[in-house]
Amino acid sequence: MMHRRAELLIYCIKKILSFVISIVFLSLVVFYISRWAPGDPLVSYYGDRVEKMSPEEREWAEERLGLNDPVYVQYIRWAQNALHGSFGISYKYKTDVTEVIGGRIGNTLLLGGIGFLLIFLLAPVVGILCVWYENKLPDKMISRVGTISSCIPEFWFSLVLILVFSVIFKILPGSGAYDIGKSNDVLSRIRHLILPLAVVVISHIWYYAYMVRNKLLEEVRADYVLLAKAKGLSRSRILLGHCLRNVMPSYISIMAISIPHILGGTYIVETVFSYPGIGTLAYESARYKDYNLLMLVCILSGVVVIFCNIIGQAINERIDPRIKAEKTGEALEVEVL
Amino acid sequence: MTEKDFELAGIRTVEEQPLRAKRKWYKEYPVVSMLFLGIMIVECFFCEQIMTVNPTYMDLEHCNVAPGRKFLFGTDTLGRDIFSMIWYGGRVSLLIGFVATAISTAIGVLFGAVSGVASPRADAFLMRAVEIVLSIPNLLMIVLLQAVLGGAGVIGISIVIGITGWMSIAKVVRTEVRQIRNSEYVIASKCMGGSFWHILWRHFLPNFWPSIMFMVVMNVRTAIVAESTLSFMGIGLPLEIVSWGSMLALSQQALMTGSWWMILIPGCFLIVTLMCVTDIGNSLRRDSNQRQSNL
Amino acid sequence: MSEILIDVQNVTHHFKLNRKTAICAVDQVSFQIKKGEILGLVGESGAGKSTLARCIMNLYQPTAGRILYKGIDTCDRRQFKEHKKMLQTKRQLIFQDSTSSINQRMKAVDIIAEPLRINHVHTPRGSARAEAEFQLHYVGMDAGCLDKYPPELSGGERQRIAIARALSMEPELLVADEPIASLDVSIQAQIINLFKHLQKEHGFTFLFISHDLAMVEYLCDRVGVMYQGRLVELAPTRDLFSNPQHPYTRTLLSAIPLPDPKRERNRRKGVYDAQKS
Repeated sequence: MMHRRAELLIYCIKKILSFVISIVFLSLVVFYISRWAPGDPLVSYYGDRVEKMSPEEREWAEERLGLNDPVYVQYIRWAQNALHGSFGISYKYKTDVTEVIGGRIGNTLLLGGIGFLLIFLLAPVVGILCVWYENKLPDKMISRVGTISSCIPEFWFSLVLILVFSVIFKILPGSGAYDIGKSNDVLSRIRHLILPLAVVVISHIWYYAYMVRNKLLEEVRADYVLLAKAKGLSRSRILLGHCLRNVMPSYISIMAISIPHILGGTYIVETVFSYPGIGTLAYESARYKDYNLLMLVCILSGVVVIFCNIIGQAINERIDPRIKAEKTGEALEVEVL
Repeated sequence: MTEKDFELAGIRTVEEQPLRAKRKWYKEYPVVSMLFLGIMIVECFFCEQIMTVNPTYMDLEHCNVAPGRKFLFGTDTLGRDIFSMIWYGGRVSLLIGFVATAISTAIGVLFGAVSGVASPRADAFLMRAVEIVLSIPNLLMIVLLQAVLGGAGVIGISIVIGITGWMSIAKVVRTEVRQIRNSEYVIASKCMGGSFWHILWRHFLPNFWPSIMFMVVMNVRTAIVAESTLSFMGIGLPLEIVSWGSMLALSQQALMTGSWWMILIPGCFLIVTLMCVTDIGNSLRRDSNQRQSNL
Repeated sequence: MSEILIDVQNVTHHFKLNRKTAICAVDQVSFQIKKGEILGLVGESGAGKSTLARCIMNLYQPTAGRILYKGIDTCDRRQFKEHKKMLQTKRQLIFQDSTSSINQRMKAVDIIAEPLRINHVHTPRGSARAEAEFQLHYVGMDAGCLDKYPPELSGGERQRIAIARALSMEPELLVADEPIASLDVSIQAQIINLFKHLQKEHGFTFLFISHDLAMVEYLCDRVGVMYQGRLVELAPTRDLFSNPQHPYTRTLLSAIPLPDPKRERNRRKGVYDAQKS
């Protein structure tokens, strides 16, 4: 008993260590890239005033901010500040970047979280439906529609929904997270969420439903199904009680890895619907070259990605010790944003 | 028993069995998709012959005209003829799709092969480093790379998309290479003095090509989607370079005026292309479910 | 005839299993092969025959010892690099299993011509295809097999292709690592006769590794016996089979089945135990 507990402890420490190392490496890369990127870094501290500065003032400002030091010294200073929670000032919003992000992150979590939950619950249902009617009309129809839905780019789908529902029929709002001045009105928020959610769910669900379908189809061909059938179990009992149970663990681990994937999908949707979330923020900061903000967004997203990857790997290793880090990430394609 | 003195033990004549009833040739290939894609490529290639108007010419007297006889697909808010732009822009979109895929495939194959033949420790390091770099949202990468490459051009954006989309290919190549790198024909080739390139080209590539074929085709799709998304958001191709994505960049204005043709027509072409590519890709996947279901 | 082609001096090779344990696959082996000689190497599975062959072919770096090929120390990296091209063309290796030693996705002609392509050799017969056809003919196969893929050929034909590939560089040293172990008995005889014929015509030096004593007796000039990584006996074939010195060799020889079933059944078979002797 003691032995197993010690083993578990070592395992956890290993995971945490690799998490920390990954984050340090990630922040290093992001920092170097942002310093390498074009644009005057002074602008991100002083804004437009930079243009009116005399050369002496510039010199003084650069000295004060330590921009003349080598990049690694700057990185260490930045990391020290970051550990105290200060990531610099946003050029566009003229406030602390953590504040800017703090005001937006809730919206993104709301959209991404509900979207993820819906996909997580609906994908197995669709998959099971396909397997239940394998190679019959419903299966073929769902597969066709699913393939088409996965081909439609998210931004275009959003555009069409806006065109149909808010421009032509005017039933649902096409932008923002709530009506002006009604930020606490739950009903208004829900009405604003419907279209973005629809896009997030519809454009992602087939990928996971297809995976469930394929795994189930393999499972259904196993010999134990024959045995269960001989015992007299009903079709639904076999499919839901036996096959689905065997598929579930790998489904959960893949879903854990997919969290950032789906979150990335919401980024695009957010910008089309001008929904005030992290995605819109990232897009704006990229357009206006607001590097402090962009860096924090990148690091934040990167942390989520790494965290979910490690969780997914851990789940996978728990289920099947044979699988090492090799296969966990394979199911995912890298998509823009 | 017979006149024969002896008979070789276990010898028996095997009757030539006719192969499985040959399927019609057109059932083995996604003919419809290939035809569609082929037509699309040919028309985009010969767009000069099809275009009715210069696609970059801004006819300010005819802004926002609905589809009609003069402008088959209407005009956009800048007064450009959408029918001409479709073919002209399709050329750019398809080109980006193919160039980006070529780049990402090359990087993926090379990286995967190097990682596959490397020692376990170097291999683990390479794969880990890549995972971390790729956990950076592509947005920052794209902004930076575009700045480095000096503004957004067709080639620039292909490179950007290519460099950010090779991970899955590299992973598959690596696993396959690890499996066959110790097989005897590779050792034999090494023993005869075969270089890394020779072995990669002659032995590794033919072996893992079938398993990455699907991903390569799917990368065309991903690249086209990526280009259109980026251009739509205004961080990809600028408005002057016509592509299906940059045509959609005007859709905010189109939404205000309710001009549906500016959104639906380029989008439909985009989606049909993507579906054809997907269909071709899916047909390359091996069909593993040959057995009868037990359920 | 008396010129020494390859000189193996005290070669030792360890395989590291983990940090603590290592397996000693080849232990202090020394022998010499003269030019034009056929040396047989026998021993049970795991005796280190293949490891030794791979050390000779520079596929493994021996832990200790030297291997001199025409006076060149092939284990020394600098000397190996200097003579790399010569060493890689003049020494060729034939593997045990022809299904895995030739790439299933290449045509026979490409397999045979592969070493020519690698080393950019211009052959007297013009194109690589003509050369492949000649080599194929040389090992007793029809030119019609040139455009076939390995799965379409039989095991014996595949092994012949592997031999043709090795011969296409006209090697001076041919190392065959159990080339007949995976073949049927009737094809084994064909291949052995082929080897004998080729060696007579070609005059290459031949290191033949096998665990089939009868074949070794038929083919080889001298025979070495390996046991647990050590070379326990090395003698001309006739001497070794008529008058074995080492107890392990005696046990090994007693395992050759006799053609008469009655005598075979009544015969006492020896069991060799290294600890006892």
